[in-house]
Amino acid sequence: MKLRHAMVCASNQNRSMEAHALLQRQGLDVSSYGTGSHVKLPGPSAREPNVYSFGTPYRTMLEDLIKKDPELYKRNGLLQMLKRNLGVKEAPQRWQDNAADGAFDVVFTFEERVFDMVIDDLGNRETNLLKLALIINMDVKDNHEEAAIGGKLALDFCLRLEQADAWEDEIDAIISRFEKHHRRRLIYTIRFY
Amino acid sequence: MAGIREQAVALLNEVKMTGEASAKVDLLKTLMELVLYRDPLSLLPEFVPYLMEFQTEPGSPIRKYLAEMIEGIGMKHVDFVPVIVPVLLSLLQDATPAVARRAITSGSNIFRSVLEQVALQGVYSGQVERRLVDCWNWMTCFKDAVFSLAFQHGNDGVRLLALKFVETTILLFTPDPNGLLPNQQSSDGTSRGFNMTWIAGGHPVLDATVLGQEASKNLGLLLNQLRTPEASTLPCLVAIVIINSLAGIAKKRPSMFGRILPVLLALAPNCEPIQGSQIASVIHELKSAFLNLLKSNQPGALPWRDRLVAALRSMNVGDIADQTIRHLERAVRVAERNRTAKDTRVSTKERISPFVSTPQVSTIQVIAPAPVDMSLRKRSLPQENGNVQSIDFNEVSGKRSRHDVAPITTQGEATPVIPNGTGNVMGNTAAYGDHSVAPLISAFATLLAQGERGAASVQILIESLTPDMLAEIVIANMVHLPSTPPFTPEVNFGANWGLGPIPPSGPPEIPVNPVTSLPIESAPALQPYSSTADLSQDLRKDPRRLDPRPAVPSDGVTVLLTPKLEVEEPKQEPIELENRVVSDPSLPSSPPPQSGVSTVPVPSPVITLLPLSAEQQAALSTASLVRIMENHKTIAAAGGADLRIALLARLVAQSYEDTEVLKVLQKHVLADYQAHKGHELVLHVLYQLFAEHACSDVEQPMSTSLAYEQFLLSLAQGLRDKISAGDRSLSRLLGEAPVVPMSTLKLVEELCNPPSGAESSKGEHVTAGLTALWSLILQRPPTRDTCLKMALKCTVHESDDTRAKAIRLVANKLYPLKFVAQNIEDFATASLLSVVDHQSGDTAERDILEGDNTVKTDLMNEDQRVANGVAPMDVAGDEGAQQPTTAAKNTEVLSLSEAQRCMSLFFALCTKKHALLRQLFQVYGRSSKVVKQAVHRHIPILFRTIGSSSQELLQLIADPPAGSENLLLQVLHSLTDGTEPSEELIATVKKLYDVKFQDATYLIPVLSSLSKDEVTPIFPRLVDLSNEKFQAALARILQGSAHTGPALTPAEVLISLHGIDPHRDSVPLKKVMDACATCLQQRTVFTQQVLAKVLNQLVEQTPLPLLFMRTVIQAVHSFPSLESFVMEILSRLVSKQIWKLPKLWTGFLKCAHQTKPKSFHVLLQLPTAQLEDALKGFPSLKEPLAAHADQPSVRPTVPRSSLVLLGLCQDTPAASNSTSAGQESNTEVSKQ
Repeated sequence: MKLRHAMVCASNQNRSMEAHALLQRQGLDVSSYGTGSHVKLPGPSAREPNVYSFGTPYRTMLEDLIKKDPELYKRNGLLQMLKRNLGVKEAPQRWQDNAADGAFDVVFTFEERVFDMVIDDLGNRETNLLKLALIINMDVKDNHEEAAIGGKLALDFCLRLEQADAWEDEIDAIISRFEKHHRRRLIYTIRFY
Repeated sequence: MAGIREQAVALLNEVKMTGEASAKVDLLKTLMELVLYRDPLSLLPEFVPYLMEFQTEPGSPIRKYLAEMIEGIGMKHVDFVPVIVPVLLSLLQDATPAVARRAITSGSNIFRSVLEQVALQGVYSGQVERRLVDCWNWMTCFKDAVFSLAFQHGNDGVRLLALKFVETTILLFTPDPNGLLPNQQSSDGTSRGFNMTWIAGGHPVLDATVLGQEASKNLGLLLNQLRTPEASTLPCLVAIVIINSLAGIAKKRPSMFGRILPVLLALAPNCEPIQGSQIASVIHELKSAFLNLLKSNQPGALPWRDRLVAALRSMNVGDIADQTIRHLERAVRVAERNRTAKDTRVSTKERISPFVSTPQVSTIQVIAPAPVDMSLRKRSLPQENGNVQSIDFNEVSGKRSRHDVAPITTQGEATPVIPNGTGNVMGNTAAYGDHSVAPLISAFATLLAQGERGAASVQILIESLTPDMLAEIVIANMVHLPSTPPFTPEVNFGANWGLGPIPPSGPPEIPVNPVTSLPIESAPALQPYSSTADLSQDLRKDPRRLDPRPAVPSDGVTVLLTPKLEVEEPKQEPIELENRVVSDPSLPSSPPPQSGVSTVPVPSPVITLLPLSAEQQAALSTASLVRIMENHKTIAAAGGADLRIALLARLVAQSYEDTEVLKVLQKHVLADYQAHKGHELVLHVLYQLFAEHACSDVEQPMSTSLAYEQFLLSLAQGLRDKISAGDRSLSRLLGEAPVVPMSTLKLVEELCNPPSGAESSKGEHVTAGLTALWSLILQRPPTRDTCLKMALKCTVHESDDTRAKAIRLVANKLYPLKFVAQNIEDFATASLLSVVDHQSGDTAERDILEGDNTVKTDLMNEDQRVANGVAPMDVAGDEGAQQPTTAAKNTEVLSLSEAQRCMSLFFALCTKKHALLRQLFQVYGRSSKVVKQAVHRHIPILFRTIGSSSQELLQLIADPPAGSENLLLQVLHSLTDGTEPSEELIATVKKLYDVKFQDATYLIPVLSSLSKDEVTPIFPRLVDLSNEKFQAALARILQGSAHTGPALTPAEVLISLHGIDPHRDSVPLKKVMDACATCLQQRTVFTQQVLAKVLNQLVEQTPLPLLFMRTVIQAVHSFPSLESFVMEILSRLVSKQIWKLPKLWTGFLKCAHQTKPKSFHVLLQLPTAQLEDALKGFPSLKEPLAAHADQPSVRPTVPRSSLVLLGLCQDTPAASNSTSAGQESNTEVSKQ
């Protein structure tokens, strides 16, 4: 089974990109997105985040941050993250603008709010392909450590789906087994493209 | 072109030659590219049949791709639909879920495309081509097939898509309020905007009403999935999809809001009915569905807002709900502020302008209530602008002029009036929010200010409002009512309609007109009415105060307001009624200019009441009721159907004394029970009547109950006459009615017991009757016993059909219910025993029946005797002797059908409760022959259903009651016939044989499943059975079981047969011989080769089997071509000195005799003494044998003494003696 996966978080930087990189390395068909209105990266203080628009290349952000405060951004891991990201793809993409990317079989989100936004967005799209999509959420905190764990779990989950003959027929069981194994709660739903 | 074809042919061949599935798919893709895109016109007709053949391909990826190809073909070339859809239908049932899923997807898209084409063609040309109708019919088949997948528990993935398809059809079959007209579609043909409204005006093939009903039915099915019994088995995955579908439907089709939401709300907060590991996901889905619906903020959703919020609170997301509400309200407020900041009327007009543009009205009217939601409004405006803008521009000048025309006073006065009104509303109905009504009121005001030009828009606006909104607006407007104490609305109405400038049969804008001239500035001067009650009281009181002077016949002015008018103008449209209702409250504030706001009642000497005769009154009220009923569609469209039913029921029930009223209602309901919401309405009425009865005093308790009883009975009769297959309305009615009186039960009983004769047409009646009984038994404990008795009576009904249905009901549905199981069992046992013991007389009914029959038989006998020409005298003399035989005959004649009739139920119960079988076995022994016959007839079906693993049955087999041996055999046979008996059964039967019976007969049925080691020891016992049984056993042994093969091969059978020692195994030799003969008769099984093999093996045995020679003779007799083989055997026998075994020696000689002349060389091998013996036995052999031996080639090989014996040589006896002596001595030695 070759499934199309989408990893979705808020800014398409940390959690979704971590998973994207992992899945890609395993040879899975994967894309990643963010659902926020802008790409936000931590700044010198909570009040002053670095805000970019979706579509700004990771390289540009990297250069921008290096220019601003190389010490700070190296310390909080942003530079490493951006370097990793630009090895995976060029720029963060926004979920709501991805209609042209075609239908996904699996949409994996890392936050309930993101999950709801994906569902909401799919609800507003024309559905006429009658193609099933599994939207699944696992809450992962937005920091590097948790993202690394979350990425591995997402990979494990997607591999389980790939191994199934048809995930449609056994999704409840797949999730239950996953939950039992990793002691993480998942929420899922089904939408149609 | 030709090149492409050749390419395609080559590809097709290549596909067929290729073995690997994925390679095949790739090739097919290339082929499709050629056929479908390069040159479809010439290639498709040729290639489609070939492509369809791939449905039998073993590789599922190929079948899946076939479904995809079908979509490609069907979407582009509708002509092929009749060819490809049958394939699609079979793919739906495919064992591989992925294929079935793809088939649904393909079919859905084709379905939509065909539907759109059919609709468009019908709309544009008024007719639809035959081929397209065919296609549509095929798609309907497809639809039905998918539906059956959606509502059954099969593969979840397939079910999801099927459910999605159900949702799609519901949306397709119901008008989309925001949809576009066909001529507004994009012309590229790819539009997916089919909308039911296209065909609302009539269509030659598609019936909007029928499709709408279907959609409604399917919605019901979807909803049912989430209700308790169904929901408990629903996988979470499916539940999620259904919830999402329903939410989607509710959002897109506001008219269904009221049906869907209660079901969804009932699931909150924990989705209790649904079980499954992923329930958290289901709950989340429900939450997001609620939030989504809350956000959608449709007018239809407004009344539900509170409940939605409450449900969300109970699910711990109250804060989000509140936030959403606040957000919505803020949007409304912002919009309002914007509106008031600008010129009030301009903004109002912006909203109303679409209504004025009449050509667009039908599509846009539903948007009308939207002013509530300004944000939504804003979003939708830009889209609309494309269509409406031009009209807007045209309207601009008109608007301006209207502003100028409008009374200047409004500018100052209107603004204070409206907030005043809304403030009042807020106090009463805070739940709905004041903001929702205010803009509408001002919209009304503006429209009314336009006079006649606005009238049409007012009407449209009213139609599009929900009853709740409308009521609010009316209430809000009531502040404008004049509060003058001598308030005489009738007179005023009269003045308006009867005497005013407008004639009573005026156009619909009557009510609007006075408003036009309404000086709004008068409103603030009036005291607002506090409630409607006051108003209605006044209305009721007033007529009495009027002077009922003999009248000037001033037409429409009487006590009954609206109905009266109807009598005058029966043609008036339903809308008008509503219209008037709306404007009524505002009417009093709009007396003709001359009366104005005066506090003095208008003197009306000319207007008086015209007393109506009782008949007239009755006719009027009936007519009005009819009209109210006929109005259901409009009301349902506005979303007030439930309210209407409640009101109507109350109205009807209150006037129960007037039987006419109930009849009218009944007629209406029965005219279209489904569409008229008959069930709901009738139940309301029944409950109302019942409540009245319960509350009524002792003085007249009978009348209500009588009315109730009659109403229910006549309704049930009406339903009975309309019953069609599968219709469950009657049982639903009886199940849910407050009380079911005896008279109605009798009706049901009659249904179940149709009078003989017209039975064929009454099939549905019986079914409906039984279904009703079923639901009564289930739902009405007080009637349970009565109904059960009725149902049981049907299980011994004379008519096979009725009986079968009743038995199905009792055994399958009722018997599992604990509370009736014992009764059913008792009845079944009693009726079983009644035939077995046939003393009968257990029930009075049976007595009568028998009595009847006896009389009949007697008569028949009498007739016969007469016909036979027997003199009566003789009969008289014989009477005594003949009596008992007649009686015996009687019972037999009776029992044949009777036995089956009375036993069927018991058999049916046996399949449910295997323990009952013991009873059957126990009584079997003592039952009469006919009863046994009946039992035997049932056995195959009965026991095949029970199967051979039933513990009770196995116990029974292990220890059968005395007398049931024959039955046991029958049972064993039917258990093993054609199926593999279970391990337990085999073990049980073996035990039975070992422990109890020692009769190999019982083993026969299971022989085929026994192994060689098991069969061999019992083989002699089988041979010992009668020939018939042995044949059966033989067949079973040779047949064997499917996976272990035969227990013994034919060769082994024969060898075993020969191995039987009559003494040791105590089997008579005769039996063994018979058995051998039996085997050899089966020439197809015991073939030449088999025999050869057997003989080869047997001849090696020492001692030789007793029957060996016999078999050799028989073998050579059956297959003469075996002769030369037999010769070999014979010569081997010679070397084994066969003559020392006398019995075999005889056989040997016999054989040799029969096989001459071939046997000559064998004979010549015999020592001379034995040869002599042989010639003695068969002297006729001597001459030909001599001739044979005399041949030059033979002669040297023959011993001399034999030659002498044959008379071929007369040489010295010495020499011959010496040789023969030498031989003799040799044999002597070997003998030693």
